Amino acid sequence: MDASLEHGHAEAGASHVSHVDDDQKVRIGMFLYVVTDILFALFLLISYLFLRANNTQGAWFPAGVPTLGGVQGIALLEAILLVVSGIAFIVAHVGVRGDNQTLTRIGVVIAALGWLVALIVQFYFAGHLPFVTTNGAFASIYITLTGYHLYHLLFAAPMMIGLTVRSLQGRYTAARHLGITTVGYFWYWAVILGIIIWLLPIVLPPQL
Amino acid sequence: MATATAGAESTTTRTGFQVSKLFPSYLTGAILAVVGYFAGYYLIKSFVGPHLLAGTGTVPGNEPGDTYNFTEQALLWGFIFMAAGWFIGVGALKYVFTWLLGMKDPDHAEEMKLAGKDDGWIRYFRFTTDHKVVGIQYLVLVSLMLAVGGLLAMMIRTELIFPGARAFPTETYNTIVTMHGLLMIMATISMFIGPFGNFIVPIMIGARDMAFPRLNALSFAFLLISMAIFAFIPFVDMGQAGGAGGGVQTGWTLYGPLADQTGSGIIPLAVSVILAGVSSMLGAVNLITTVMAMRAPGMTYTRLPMFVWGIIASAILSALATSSFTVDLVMILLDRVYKTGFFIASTGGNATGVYLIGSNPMPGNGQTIPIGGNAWLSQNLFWFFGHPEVYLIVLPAFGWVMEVLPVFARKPLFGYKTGILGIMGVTVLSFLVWMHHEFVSGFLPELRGFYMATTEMISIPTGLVFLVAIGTLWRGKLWMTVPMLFALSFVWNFLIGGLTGVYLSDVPADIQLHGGMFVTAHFHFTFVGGALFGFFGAVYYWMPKMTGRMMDERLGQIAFWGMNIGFNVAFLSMLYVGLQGMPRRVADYDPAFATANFITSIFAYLLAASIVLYFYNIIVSWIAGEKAEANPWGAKTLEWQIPTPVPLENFEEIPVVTSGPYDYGEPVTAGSSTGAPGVQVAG
Repeated sequence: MDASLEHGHAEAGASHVSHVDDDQKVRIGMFLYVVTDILFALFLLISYLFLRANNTQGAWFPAGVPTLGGVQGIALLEAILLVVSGIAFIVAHVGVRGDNQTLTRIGVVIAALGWLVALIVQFYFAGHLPFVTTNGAFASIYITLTGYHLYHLLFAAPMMIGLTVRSLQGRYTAARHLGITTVGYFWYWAVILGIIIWLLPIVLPPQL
Repeated sequence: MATATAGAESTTTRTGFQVSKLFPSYLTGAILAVVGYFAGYYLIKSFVGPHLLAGTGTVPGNEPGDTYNFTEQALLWGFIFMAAGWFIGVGALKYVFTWLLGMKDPDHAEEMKLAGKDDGWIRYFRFTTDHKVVGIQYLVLVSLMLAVGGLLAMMIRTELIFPGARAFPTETYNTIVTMHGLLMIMATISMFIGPFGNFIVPIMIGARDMAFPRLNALSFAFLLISMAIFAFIPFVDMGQAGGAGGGVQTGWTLYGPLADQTGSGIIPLAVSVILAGVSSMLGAVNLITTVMAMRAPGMTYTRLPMFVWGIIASAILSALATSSFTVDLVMILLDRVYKTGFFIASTGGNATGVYLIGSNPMPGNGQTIPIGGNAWLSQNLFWFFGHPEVYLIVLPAFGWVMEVLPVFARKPLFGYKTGILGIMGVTVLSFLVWMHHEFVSGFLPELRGFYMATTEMISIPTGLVFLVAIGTLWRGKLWMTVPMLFALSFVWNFLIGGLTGVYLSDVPADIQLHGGMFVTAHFHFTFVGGALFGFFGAVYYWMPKMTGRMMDERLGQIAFWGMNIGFNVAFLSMLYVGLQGMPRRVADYDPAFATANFITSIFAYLLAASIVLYFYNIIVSWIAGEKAEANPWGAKTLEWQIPTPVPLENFEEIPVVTSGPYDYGEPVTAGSSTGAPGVQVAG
């Protein structure tokens, strides 16, 4: 390079068109994003524990408020749909690594269909909760947590549509499948949160 | 050096202005933001709200004649739609759509167009991906934020100059204090990471841009819309039941349930701070990735400049801690707008729960309902962010001080790895101290000893940074430029801030001093005398690279001394009234504190006048200052080895790094003089 570099703590080197591994870059970025997302959910879950232990006037789950009842079944259905979608996503990942276009496409399409049905079920779930936001601390935090899960499903919309379109175009190969890998980071986490939301009222029931 | 500068001029070709370049730009973003605001506001106010209240048929439990104020809900959705309109208007979502529709990926030429190639000045008013443009955008926005925050501070000092609360009504004073606090926090969080993290760090590590240029432009767009929404705070007065009125009267901590009961200004405030938080998280993800994945060959972790370490530590804190405050703010909004019970123990009167989806019952008319919320939740969520956040602000300044001391002492950094240990030690420990803010809250008093110990331990890594600073100065050949003066004043001011912090971490002392002016003075020594003065020094230091102009030395010296004399007298006097027992966050005070408050206010005016002079210096020097050569300080880090102005992709060829950044004091090579008095760069 020019003379100026010789004065610094660097020397002119051989020409590096790009010294950056683009795949590594995107993987790190998506991983860090998912970490911040997990932390947000973690603080909500900690708030669940905190309010369960430290509520005032015994109003964590006031008398007379209906229990989750049948809605818990919808949460289970949601978790099953998400697990199916997650497994299909793993299949797509295996497919693309082995350069198997058919398997990739089948995996992505099933994963996307699973996401779509889960989204609809989550709206149905939100509309059929037996309590409202004023019904005590449990209702407040539970509705917020399920709302956060709904946000995940909405946020996944561009990713799922994009992956479907692009895998049907045959753009993912064994050499280039960054989209499937990194969306996977997000999607597996969304599946795990769906399972946590189903398990939460079972492991730490609203009734103290 | 001369050849390098000449080569740079030809790389930036600029063409004339074309109206088509305004589509999209921040202008179209602003237009859609306004449209979005009104759409969101009236959608709730005139359509959804009345529909929910339409009668007992659709909303069981709602009695005819019940009123429910949908204004805050309308306000919230107005701001959400406003932000959405903004992002569509500036063109931030374009590539999301081209990606999901499976269209052609942008090629290098298109990326360069998006980076503002040949765009001239209009690129500063667009969604531009060039990290240097984003850096300048941040510099201007952060300066404006500091100026407005400073104006609010002067309003506070004007109210407190004499006892008797004569300048503003007390409610207005509370709003001013809250706005000053949060605006300054957002400005200081961004002041290093924004301008210098974006402009300087990629060049320092030998990269051509940030890891995710579009994400970078997006994080600035987030901060810009956040500030637009922040400006609504004093103007929203929605006539709340109970006469809370407008503004926000909680102070910057926004504790529940006070935040649930204060004026409607909390709605724009919470939305604004959430957006600023997202901005800083996105920026942090981008910076960490950039440093991890884009270092030039040979730029090992132990050859990273100290400033990069400071920025990385700050970015780690930002990525890990901000979520906690975001959760807190979301809960405040839900408590107010959807009547959840996170921080409220019970709700009374005709407070009505309104659920967003479906037609669930809306109970609660005419009776007190227990809800079960807990104010301690708010305090813990806030301070889990709040304490790492103070280090988030200060760590880049630590890094900057260790960066410039070797440059102006003309000798290697004393204890490079010790400095890293200091920065990283503070980063880790800062997550273990938050409950020292709750010593008098009554929450888990048995843990007070633990948090006292962890807080006092933080002085150990901080001490390491001081050791590195003093060791570097020791027997150095000091070159007393304005940045060097600011670096030295950092050491002095932060020492006072740090030592007073040790008093506050001590439980018996804290019980006496908590909620008093001593605390206010303590953290201003760290934020203003430490971090903010570090920022002023950093602007002076990097201005030649960022703008191609030197700042005026004489004006800089005058401003420096005015700032430091004004600051030290004002806040030492405040430490004194704090020890005497004056509480903070009050518009009026006992006449016994009058003299000290008068001194504080007068010297605060001197501080403000000096800062105005400093900004004047920036503006005048930017327009007509002496042209800067490529490396006016004779520094060794990479940003000084490339031409000024910096070419679009920084490096013609990516450099190969062969040594550390602070190898000063080697034998002088002929012809490498920098023109600095008594200073030559070793080859």
